[in-house]
Amino acid sequence: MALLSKAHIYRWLNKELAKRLVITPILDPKEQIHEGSVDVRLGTTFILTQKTEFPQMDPTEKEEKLKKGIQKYQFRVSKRLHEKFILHPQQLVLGATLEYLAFPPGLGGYVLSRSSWGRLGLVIATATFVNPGFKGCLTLELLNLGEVPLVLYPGIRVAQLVLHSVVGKPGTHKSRYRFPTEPEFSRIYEDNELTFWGEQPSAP
Amino acid sequence: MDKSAAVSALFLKAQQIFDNASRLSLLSFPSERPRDFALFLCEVCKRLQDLILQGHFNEVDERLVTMTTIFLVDEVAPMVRFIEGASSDNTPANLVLPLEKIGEATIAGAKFIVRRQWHYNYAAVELRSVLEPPLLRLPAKAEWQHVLDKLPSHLYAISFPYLEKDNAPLHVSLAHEIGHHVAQRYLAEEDGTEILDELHADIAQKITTEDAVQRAEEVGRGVTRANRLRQAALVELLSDAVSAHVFGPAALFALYEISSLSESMDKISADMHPPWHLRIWHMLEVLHELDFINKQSLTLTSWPQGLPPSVDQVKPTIDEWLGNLRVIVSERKDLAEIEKHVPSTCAYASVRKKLPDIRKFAAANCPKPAYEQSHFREEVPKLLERLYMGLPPNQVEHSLTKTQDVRLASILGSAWLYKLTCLASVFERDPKQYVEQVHTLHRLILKAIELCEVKTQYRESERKQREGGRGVTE
Repeated sequence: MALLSKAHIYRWLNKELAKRLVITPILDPKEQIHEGSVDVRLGTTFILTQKTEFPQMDPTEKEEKLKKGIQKYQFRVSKRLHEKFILHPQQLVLGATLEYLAFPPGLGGYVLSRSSWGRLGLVIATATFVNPGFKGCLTLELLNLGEVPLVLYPGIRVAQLVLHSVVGKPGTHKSRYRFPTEPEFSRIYEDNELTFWGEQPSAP
Repeated sequence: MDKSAAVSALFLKAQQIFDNASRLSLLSFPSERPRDFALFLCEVCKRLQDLILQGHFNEVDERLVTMTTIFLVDEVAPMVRFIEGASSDNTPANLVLPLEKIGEATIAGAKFIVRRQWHYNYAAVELRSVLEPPLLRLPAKAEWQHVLDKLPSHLYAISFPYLEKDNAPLHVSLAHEIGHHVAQRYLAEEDGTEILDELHADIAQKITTEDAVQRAEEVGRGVTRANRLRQAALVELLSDAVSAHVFGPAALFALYEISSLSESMDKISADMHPPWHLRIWHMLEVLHELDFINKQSLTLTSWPQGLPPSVDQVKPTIDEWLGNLRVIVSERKDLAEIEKHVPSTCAYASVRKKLPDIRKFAAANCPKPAYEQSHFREEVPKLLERLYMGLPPNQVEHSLTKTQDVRLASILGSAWLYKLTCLASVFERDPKQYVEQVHTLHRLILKAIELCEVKTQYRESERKQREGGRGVTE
C-alpha cells in the first residue's frame, strides 16, 4: 500500500461518484486536506458506559447473553451543535466521525488522532484500520489519557484519515457494520470461534 | 374537604409537576423548545405555590381551588409527557429542527415541540390555548399574564406514532399536522352564518318527513352533523394540500401508507374524517396542479434522461405504483358511502364547491419558497443514485468544491422512491432483509438531514465572518 499525497487525495475525491472516495461533507477543504491525510470531525452521538448492572465483559459468553449485556453496559447520548461533551480522565467513550465516508475498493486507510489533540491526552482510535470498500461513519474510541477533563464539541476536527492505495486487485469488503451513521456498539459476539476459546462446560 | 386541605392538595400537586418537569428538563433535546416548555411549567408551579404562601388563595372561593387542582392534574400534568417524548432518544432527532423551521415559516410566531406518542396517530395540539384561560382566572392576573408572555403566541405539540420513530420517510405526515393550523385559519375566515343557512336549505329540501315537528328536529340535527362533517373534511383536505406543497409527491406516498392501515378506505370515519379515497383523490388533484403527477395518465410528469440504470428504472416502477391508484380515481366508491345519508351528502356537496378555494388557500399560506416540480426533477434522481450506492442523500456533488445543496423535500422524496422501488422487491425475497434495509434507509436519511443542517449553519457562520460579524462557530 502506498500513502496518498494531497494531489492524489484530490484526484480520488473528484472521481465520478461510483469510483469516488466520498468524504461528505468536507466543510473546509483547505483546512482539512493535507499531504497524506484528511482531517475528520467529531459527530453528534456518543456511546457511554454504565457499570452498575454489568458485572464483567466476557466476550466468550453466548451471543444473546453478551448482546443483552452490552446493551445494559452501554447507552447513547446525543449532543447538538455547540453543546459541550466533557470527557473525563481515563473515560472511554465511543463517538463517530461527523463525515460519512465511502472508500472505493482501491483505497484503504487508517484513522489516527490529530497530534494537537494527542498532546492534550486525547486518543481517538485504537482499532484504526479502515477497510477498502467501507461505507459509513467511522466509530471513534475516544479516551482521555490526560489529567484534566477535555471539553469536546460536535464538529471539531479530532482525527485524521491517512489514505493508502491498495496494491493488486482489490477484493470485496464485507463488514459486520452496515452503513453506520452513528457509533456502533461492539458486535464481538459475532465472532463465532470465541465460544471455543472460552471456559468449557464441565462434563456431566 | 375543607378549604385548607384543598389548598394543601393544590400546593402538593404543583410541587409534583414541578419535580417531574424539572427532572425532564435535564434530558437531551434536539432543539430548545421542549426544555423551554419544561421550565415554563416549572415557573407556573412555582408561581402558584408562591401565591398560596402569600395567602392569595385564602380569600378565593373553594371551588376555584378545587378547579385549579383539577386543571393541574388533568391538563398540566399530561403536558409533562410532551417533554419526555420530545427528547433526542425518543425522536428522529435530526428531523426535528427542519420540521420546526417548516412550521415556523408556515405560522408566524408559532413554535413547535415534536414528540412521540404511543397512540398510532399523527396529531397536533396547541398548548397555549389550553393553559391560558385557567391561569388568567387565578388571583394576581397581571402576574400570570407576565408568565404567559414567555410562551410563544402559539405553541404546538405535534406528535408522531412511536412505532414509526425509525421510519423517517413517513414523518412527511407531520407537515399535514402543521397544515391543520392553516386550515383552522381558513375556517375562521369563512362566513359561518351563510354556510349554516346553505346547509339548512339543502338539508330541508332533502328531508321529507311529514310530521312538521319531527322534520324540524331532523333538519336541526342534520345541519349540526353536516356542519361538523364539512369542517372536518375541509381541515383534512386543506392540510393534505399544505403537505403536498411542502413535500411534493412524498406527501401522497405517506398518506397512502397511513391509509392502508385503515379498516375502510371508503367510509367517513367515526371521528368524522373524510374517506381515505377522497383524500387520495384530492391529493392527486393537488399534485397534478403542481405538475408533479399527471392525473390522467397517473405518472410522474417528467424524469431526466441519461441516468444510471439503477435510477432509470425508478420512474417506470413509480408509474406502475401510481397506476394502481386508478381504481380510486375512477371508481370513487367513497361517493356512494357519502351519499347514503342526507347530512353527509349535503356536507360533501358544500366541500366539493370549496375544493378550488382551499387549494388556493394552501398555496398562499405554505412556507415560501414552495417545493416545485423542477426541484424534484433536478435533485431527486441524483439523490437516489446516492441511496443506491449506500450514501446519504445530503447533497449533489459535481466535484469536491462544487456541491449543490438539496431541499428536505427532495431528501424525503428520494427516500420514498427508493422505498417503493428497491425495497418492495426486497420484501418479496426476504422480509428480514427488508427490515434491515428500511433501517438503513432511515439512518441514511437522518444523516443526510443532519449534514445539510450542519453545512447550512457552517456556511452561515462563514458568511457572518466575511461580513465582519462573529460566526456561530466562534
